[in-house]
Amino acid sequence: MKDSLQKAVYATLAEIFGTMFFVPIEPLDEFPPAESWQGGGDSIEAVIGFNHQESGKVRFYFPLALARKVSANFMGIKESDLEDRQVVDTIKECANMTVGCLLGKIDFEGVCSLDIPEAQEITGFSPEQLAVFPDLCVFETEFGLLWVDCAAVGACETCQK
Amino acid sequence: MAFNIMVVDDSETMRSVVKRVVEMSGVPVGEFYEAADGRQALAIVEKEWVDVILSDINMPEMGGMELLKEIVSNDDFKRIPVIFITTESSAARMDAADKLGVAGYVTKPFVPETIKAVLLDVLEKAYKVKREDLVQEIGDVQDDNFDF
Repeated sequence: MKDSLQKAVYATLAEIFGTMFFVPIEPLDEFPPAESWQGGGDSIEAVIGFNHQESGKVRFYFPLALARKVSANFMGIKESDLEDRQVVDTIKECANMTVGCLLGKIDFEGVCSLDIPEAQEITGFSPEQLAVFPDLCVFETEFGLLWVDCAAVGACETCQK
Repeated sequence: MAFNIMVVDDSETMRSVVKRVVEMSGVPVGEFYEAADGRQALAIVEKEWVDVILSDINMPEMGGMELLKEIVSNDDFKRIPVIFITTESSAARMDAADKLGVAGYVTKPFVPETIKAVLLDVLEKAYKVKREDLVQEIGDVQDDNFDF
């Protein structure tokens, strides 16, 4: 991943998780060892379409524990009072905020656009399939690892200027 | 004077967060309306008195830009100030919103104070009221995350 894009992704995630979700996150420089993510249980996948010269998708994978924590913090309610649809909705909003905010940092001409985000709970997520992507970012949190595949942004020539 | 406020966002959780921030800001609220997109918002302003709209931009069906165009081009609705609360923060997009006549702009992620400040600015200008007359005593409202 280009250094400037990586810095922008890190700054964006840190800003959003600090300001809206009150969960500290730390970027990992290397793909984490298997023992740090195996047996992690259910996850929530969020996907947002990103349109420029070519269209692509930015993908987020949240461990369920992290998704529930950020949702409870965002809404100001106890985790035990959360409904599943609120967790999915919060993660959609997180994806929307992250990529929208990232574009504000790198797409100065405002030529890129976003689709409506989607999110769903998934079982059996395996990050091994993501390891081949050059624009994969991994963040460590107290509630598990957050995976963000930014390949669609990395391929955008406008955002690389 | 209490203000009827409408929040337009396709995210139910974001609507509830914005509503909570507005309630905690001390701005006197009469009715609070919610819409999931621009089309729903227009249906509400046709039936109900709305004093200010807080709207997202990126929404299905009808987005915030289209909603703003409809509001400013309608003689009955153009009195309603529209504030965007959005992730769309590029200078080009903010400029486009300015040209359309947006009253205020808050970019996500936001801190509650930003929404409060922009809302008070917009209400002051639109309704010619003094800021000190706008904000009620918010008493002992406490929130672990949102602290005014």
